[in-house]
Amino acid sequence: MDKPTLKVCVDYFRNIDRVPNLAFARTLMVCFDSPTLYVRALAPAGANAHLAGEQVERVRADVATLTGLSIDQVQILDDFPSGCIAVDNFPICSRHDVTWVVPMDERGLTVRGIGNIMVPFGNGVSALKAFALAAPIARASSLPLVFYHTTWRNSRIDSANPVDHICADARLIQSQLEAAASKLNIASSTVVECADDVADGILHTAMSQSTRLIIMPQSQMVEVGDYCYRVKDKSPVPVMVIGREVTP
Amino acid sequence: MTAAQKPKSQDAILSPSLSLKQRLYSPYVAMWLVVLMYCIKTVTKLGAGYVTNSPVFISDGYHNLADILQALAVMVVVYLARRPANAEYPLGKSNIEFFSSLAIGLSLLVLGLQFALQSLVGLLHYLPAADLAVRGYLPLPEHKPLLSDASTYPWLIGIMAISGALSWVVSRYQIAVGRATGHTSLVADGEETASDGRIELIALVGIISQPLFGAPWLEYPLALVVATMVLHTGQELVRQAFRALLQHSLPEALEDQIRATANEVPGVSAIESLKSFQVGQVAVCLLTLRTTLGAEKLAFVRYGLEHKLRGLLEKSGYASSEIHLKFVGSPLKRYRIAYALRQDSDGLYVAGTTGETTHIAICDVEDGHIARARIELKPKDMQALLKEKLVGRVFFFGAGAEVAASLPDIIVAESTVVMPALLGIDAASLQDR
Repeated sequence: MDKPTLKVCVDYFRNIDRVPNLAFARTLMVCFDSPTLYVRALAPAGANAHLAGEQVERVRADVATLTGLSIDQVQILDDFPSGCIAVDNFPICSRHDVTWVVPMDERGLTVRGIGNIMVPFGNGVSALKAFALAAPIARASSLPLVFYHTTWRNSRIDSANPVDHICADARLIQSQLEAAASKLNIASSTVVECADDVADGILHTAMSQSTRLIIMPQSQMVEVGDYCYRVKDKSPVPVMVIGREVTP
Repeated sequence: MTAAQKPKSQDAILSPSLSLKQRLYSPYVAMWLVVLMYCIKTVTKLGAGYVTNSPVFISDGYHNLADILQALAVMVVVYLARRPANAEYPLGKSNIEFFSSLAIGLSLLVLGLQFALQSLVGLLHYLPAADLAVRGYLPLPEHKPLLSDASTYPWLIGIMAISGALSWVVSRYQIAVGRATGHTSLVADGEETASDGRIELIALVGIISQPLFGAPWLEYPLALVVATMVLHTGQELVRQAFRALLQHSLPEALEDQIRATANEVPGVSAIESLKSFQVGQVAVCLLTLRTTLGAEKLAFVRYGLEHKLRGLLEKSGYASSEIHLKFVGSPLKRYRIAYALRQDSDGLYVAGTTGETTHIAICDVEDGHIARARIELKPKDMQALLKEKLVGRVFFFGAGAEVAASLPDIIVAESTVVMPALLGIDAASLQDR
């Protein structure tokens, strides 16, 4: 699998003392072999357009100082481009063409020690989309993958083991994920449980297993109560939400 | 045996559903076996001692009789320690085990000193001149040599060898059960039984060395080594008991691991304080943590932290743990800055000079964020306003020497951006005015 080269973007400037999220964006640049950090900064227009160039240079210099990148590696954009990875604690949920990374207060994937990257899966193929982004991150950060699934208890099956309650479609996705990880020599494990609440189940497992990033695609069909946003809203762990229009 | 496998009530051991292994891992079964062992030892040693007129066997027999009473006392302590927690004793009464540990530790110290003294007396017996000289200064006890003959040697050797082996096996068993069930008193009693075994081994060496090498003195230097070991065990038990009873912190290395574990959990900004101590085999941790997260996210931080700390403490040998987490918000770094703004037909921008400034944004900064911005029309005396508002720095986009000269008492700084929106200053409301 070729490592996808993605534009890693971050917003400027919500903080006087520092530009938050830059450290996390820097980590993702390494994961995706992305040489440039794209910084969104609103440009002056009209009669003040002549100040845009000066602002661009100042912002580039500031970001370069804060990240250790060279000025040439920092590009200023008016807006997040389609298909990019945008590191921002306040994702615009209506932008379905962007992969949002919500870092919470974390500054990287391994800053708090070794953990894992979690890819929750259901009975649809969207988890394979998440895997496409999880794999390069796992390889670059040397973190194993954890595939997580929670299932309804099937009353017709007399078993306390949640694995026995997985439906055939989810079982197929599980085997595809495990095979894909194995093919890429990425260590992986699978957690299956019958959690009362999907988002809570994901987060309880993430917290007990030292997950450093949860990667979830936006649902193609759910408009309200999408699990990825429910997880994002409750999670202390960084969450990557892949927009439904994004094809990694 | 895990905590989950432990019998849940005092009578659970009577349950027919328990396996033999589970029964053997009951502290009561272990202690009854210990009582049985000491009964056999007492009878055989006192019997052999009186038949051979052996002071070593007679005194050891009486020592074993005292061990029976000690074993019964340990059972009472275990019974009390296993009583469930209640409103008066919210963490149970398991600390009572450390009283028995303390008592056993002290008795081992006395036993070790006694044994060391007897050994020194025995050694001095073979150096009559030195013996006489020392006794001139110190009231040493009388030396009691082993009184036996060739016909009784095999019996004495057999009894002491079996007794020593039994002590060794039973002590291992006691310690294993004590550790598995979290009963410190059982572990301490096991250590005491092991010390008995070592003393019996030395007595055996003494019995054997007399006919075999014609060197009965050989027993005494070895006995001094054993006395040192017994004293060390006693000292260790007393130290542990004192630490637990006086609620000493958990070991420093473990506290470091607790801090490291807490720092690994996302959402924890810093560890404000850690207090830890031990109640019985329960490790208690009181942690105050700094965080910037809200209540909903904190519920998961709490879950993760408790899960990890319980695992760590269980791995460190504690039967269970009580973890109390308190989250406090991070102290905000608050200060005030100002932005010189210029309003024109295109909107609001950060001004380049005092001359083009039309408005001043007085900004309250909290942890780097502009939490409140009050935009005022530029006053006649800009410096007076900034000083009155306690502004530390004022930002211009392109501040040069001219600006700095016009505001000599204020720090003039370069703004990175010309667009106030990038700073979180909502200029839209001003446009509407």
